Amino acid sequence: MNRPTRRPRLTAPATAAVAAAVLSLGLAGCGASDSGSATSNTATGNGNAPAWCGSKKAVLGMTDGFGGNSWRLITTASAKEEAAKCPSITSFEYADGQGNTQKAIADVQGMVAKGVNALVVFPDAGEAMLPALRSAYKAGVVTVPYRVAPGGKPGVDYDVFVDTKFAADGRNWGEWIKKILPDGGNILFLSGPPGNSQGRDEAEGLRSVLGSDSRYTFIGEQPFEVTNWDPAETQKVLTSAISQNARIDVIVSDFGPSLVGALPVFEQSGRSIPAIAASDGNVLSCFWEDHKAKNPDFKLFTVSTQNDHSRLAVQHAVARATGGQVPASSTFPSLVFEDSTAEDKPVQCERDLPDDVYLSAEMSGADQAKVLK
Amino acid sequence: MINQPHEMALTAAPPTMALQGISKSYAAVAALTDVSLEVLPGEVHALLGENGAGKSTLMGVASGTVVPDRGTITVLGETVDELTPGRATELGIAIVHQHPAVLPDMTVAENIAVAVPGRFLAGDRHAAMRSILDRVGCTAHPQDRVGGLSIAQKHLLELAKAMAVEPRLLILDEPTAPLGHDSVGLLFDLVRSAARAGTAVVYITHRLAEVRELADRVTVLRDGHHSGTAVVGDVTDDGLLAMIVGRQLEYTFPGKRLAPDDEPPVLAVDGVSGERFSGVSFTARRGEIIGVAGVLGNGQSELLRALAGLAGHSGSITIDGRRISRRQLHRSSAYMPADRHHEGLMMSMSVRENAALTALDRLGPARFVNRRREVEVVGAELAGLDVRTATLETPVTSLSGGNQQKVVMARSLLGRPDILLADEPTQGVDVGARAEIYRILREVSGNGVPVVVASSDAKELEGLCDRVVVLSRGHVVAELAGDEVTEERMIRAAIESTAHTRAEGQRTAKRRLSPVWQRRLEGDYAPVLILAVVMLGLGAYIYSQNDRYLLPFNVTSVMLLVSALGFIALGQTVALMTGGIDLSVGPLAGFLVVVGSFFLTDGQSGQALVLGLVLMAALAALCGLVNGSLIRFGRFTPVAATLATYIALQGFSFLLRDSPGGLISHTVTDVITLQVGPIPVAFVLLVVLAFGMEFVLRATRWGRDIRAVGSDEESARRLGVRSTRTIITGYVVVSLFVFLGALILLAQLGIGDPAQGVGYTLNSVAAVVLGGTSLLGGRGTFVGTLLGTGLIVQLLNATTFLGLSQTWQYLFQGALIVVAALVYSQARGTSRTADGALR
Repeated sequence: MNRPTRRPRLTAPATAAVAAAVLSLGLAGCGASDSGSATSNTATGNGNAPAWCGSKKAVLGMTDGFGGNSWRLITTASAKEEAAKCPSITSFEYADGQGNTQKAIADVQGMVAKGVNALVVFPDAGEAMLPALRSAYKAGVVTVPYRVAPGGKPGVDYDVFVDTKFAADGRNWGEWIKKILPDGGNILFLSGPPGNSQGRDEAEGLRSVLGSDSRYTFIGEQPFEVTNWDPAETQKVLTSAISQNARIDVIVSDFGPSLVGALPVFEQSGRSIPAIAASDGNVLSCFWEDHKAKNPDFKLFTVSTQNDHSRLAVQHAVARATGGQVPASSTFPSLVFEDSTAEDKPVQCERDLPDDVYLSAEMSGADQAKVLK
Repeated sequence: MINQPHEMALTAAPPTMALQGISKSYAAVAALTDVSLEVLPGEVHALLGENGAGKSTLMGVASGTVVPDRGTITVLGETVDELTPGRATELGIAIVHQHPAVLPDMTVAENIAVAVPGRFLAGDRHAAMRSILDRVGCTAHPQDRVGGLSIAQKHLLELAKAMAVEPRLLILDEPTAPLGHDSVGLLFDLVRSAARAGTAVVYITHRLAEVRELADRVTVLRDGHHSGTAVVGDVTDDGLLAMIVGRQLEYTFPGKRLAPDDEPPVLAVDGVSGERFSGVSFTARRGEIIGVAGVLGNGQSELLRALAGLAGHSGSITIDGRRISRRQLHRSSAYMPADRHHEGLMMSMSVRENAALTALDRLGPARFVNRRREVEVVGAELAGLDVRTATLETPVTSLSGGNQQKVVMARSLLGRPDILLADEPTQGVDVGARAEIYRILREVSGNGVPVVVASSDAKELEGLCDRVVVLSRGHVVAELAGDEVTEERMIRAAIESTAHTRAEGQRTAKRRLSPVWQRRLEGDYAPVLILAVVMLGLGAYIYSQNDRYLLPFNVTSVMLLVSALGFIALGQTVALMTGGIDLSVGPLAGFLVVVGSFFLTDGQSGQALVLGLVLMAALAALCGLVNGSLIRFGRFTPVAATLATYIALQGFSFLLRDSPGGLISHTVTDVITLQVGPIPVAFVLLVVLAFGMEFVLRATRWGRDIRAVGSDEESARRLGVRSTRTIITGYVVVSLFVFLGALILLAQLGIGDPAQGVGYTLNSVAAVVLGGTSLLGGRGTFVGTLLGTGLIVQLLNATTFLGLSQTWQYLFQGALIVVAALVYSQARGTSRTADGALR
């Protein structure tokens, strides 16, 4: 949930898993990973630094199209933590576009002007950011956009686009729904702003699994109900969906924590909370623990919300700028995080930590709590 | 009465102006009925009559601001079919309004330039203006901002403008009201010498003394009818008075009270002075109603407000033997304002809510209102006053004027006041309700609550009051009681008065700075200087932190960013200058980019490119036309109108493209971002345009009209500015600037993205405000806007360069705007608001 940059085609959660798994996957081929801190592979003789960290000194910049929610804060902090693993990075600079494309463009150009050697960009505005990315690339800065597709071509407009397959999240949700509702059911899918590309890709993934089976019905607005990833909006949408549909068997959301405020409506109207397929978040998991007993239909399945996507982007940028080993994959994997119906992926609720902590991230919950403070 | 015969001597030459059979109604109310008036060259023709007799309306007809329903206007023997303010000026008709038609945001010199055709300012312009001002004894400096002048100086400026055009017909509407004694003498000399030179002068006044001193003939209006015309020397004061008074009444008054003389007064007002009145004393015994009479605007309303504790006073006010302070008055008085709609009622609330307001603390425990008790109490009071309303919950707007006034009275009485003050209580009230209101006032007074009524209708005071004080220019010129309370006595006192306004001077004395510096600080270019200093300082600081700041890459990218916002902000400046705002600029820029993305792509022919550009410009112009028309013809506020187009344009963008598409051709992008060295050509164009617009604003008719309309639309209209056309063209110009900005945006984004551009709306307003343009309209500079834009972009750039956190980014920009707004409004002084309150 990289939530509201009030732009279409933001991106949000996806599946990640625990960081170790993620990074070892991302770095498949560059040696062993020791669990926990991931990728402390010393290939280039740069002390204890990971393989992607070369010996050339470099300044790393990072710009966000929008940086003002907990998901973004954790994601940025993760990037900073990742960069800190490489001693060759002498400085980490960050700028927040505040949801204003003009500012985002100015930030990219400002970073270049200021003299960063590598730049990781979350191009919320999508293709509208391409000219700015291109000018950075042309100015000799290692330019790595991630998560939102900026159009253009690697090697022409930027170095590499570190993407993720949102459709894979949709497929994961679809497979789970098929498992728990083998006889079909009504599915309500909620995503962010109208027409955002993440939601469109996820809907496509969902349909690729369930779409051909007439026993599954997608209810509500298509391809998804618009919530702008805003909890208040989500509550409105959900309340009206509940009153309009006598039967909702599963709710799918790419911003799981935003559902929590609205779900008690089911209990108030004497219905069981239905199954939820979403992205993870501490508040959602704890909500499930508190309400599962009274709501027989309440099953929970989450995919990783992918805060660590920024880490892979940082690795790509730093490797190119410092002469380290470039990670083999430029796609951040989509992974299942929790499944209340399976033994091996138990729902994780940390009651001592704040609601908006994402336990699927590499950064520990306690560290996240500090970032959010 | 004493009509025709004597005129023969004067009618050798054809009349300068002849009005024949003029009638004019507002809604159902006749302001003028079949009125005729002839003004001869070289004569001073006085126009007399009570408040509301139709004098100002008649002169509005003569000067082209009021279109009569019937009647003909003849100037120098030729019939004029349609007299507009502009046509009137061409014909040599000049009018000095009772409320000066001056533009507060423009300088004295600019005000003269708007009103006086260039041929009267030939030669040394400065000297010409000085002599125009000197002629009427106006001491204002030509570079003074008119908003900062005293009322008297504004009137002299108004007079100066009228005299400067050497008019054939000069109309003066109560010119001496705001003037001190010296200025009055000078004015009389001017009028006499103008008349000697052959100018026909119409002199509207309430004062017989002035008529005797100046006028050759006099015409009296009564109730919108021609009451008589006479040669001044042939008519006695009594004769004139008889022409003025004598309106027929169609309503009745409750019986008066006969108070024994030895009863102690319940109200004693002793030597009370305040704004626009001084040394007022009177007493009232139990059951007496006090009237405050006089020509409208001679301090009556101000006196009532002071008695209600709404304005400060000196002197003593005693009720039932207790001396009452202003605060106590404020708490314990009930005040019924003349302006019911703005001051007296909350128009969107119900009858019950309006009435209960002053009694809330009696309606329930602590801070809560007991609804049942409220309904009971309010219902009883309203029933007692016979308010005709469907239910207590009816919105007060749906009541008639009379019933609205009764709701105001109900509220006043529910508060159990110690004193009741009613300003024009029967204005806009029908005949039936009038009698009711008189009865209620009488009852309240009978219960021992002193009642003071101000009215410009002497007949009303005659019928209602036991005792009347007559104010003239803030002084009591007569106190009448018992049988003396007659319309005739009141009007005689008012028109025979020779009192003059107390000289002003406090306001100018308050200035601490020398006039030269005051002018400089108030000047339009002060913000430009301030901004330049801030930008240089900020630049120097960033450079000291990071010497890459001035490398060509940064210079170029900053200049391109400035260009996109800059063009749009120049447009926004025009909108703000007219006193409006254009919220649709952001979405319009985005929409134009989307439109362009269908034409300016790779593989399109040259014709398609040109077609695309023409289409973008045409759509922009259309948008401006729609905005302007909604505002002028649709009567939308600028915010509402442009918000509507804001939303519509965003909708159109998403209709054309539901997701980003249409990559802009590199050729197009390269042309738009073409550079000479590190300087983008677009930026050079922006700077040239900013200075060009500055010139247009100062030196062309259109520029002056824009500022005039923004400064004071009513005055501008009276000066012959075609405000509707000016404003609509203004909004078209705004949109054309947005078109230029959209071209830069197009190159910056490189794709048609329906979600882009919106942010420009707020940023453009911020840039304009930083640049020193007034949100109230009328003043500002394009160069300031250019620098304001520069500063905003420089700040964006600085936050990256200095690595400031998000919080700082917001704080920085916000603080800067607040500081700018404070500094500029301080530098301009608060004269504008002070004036507004007086109007």
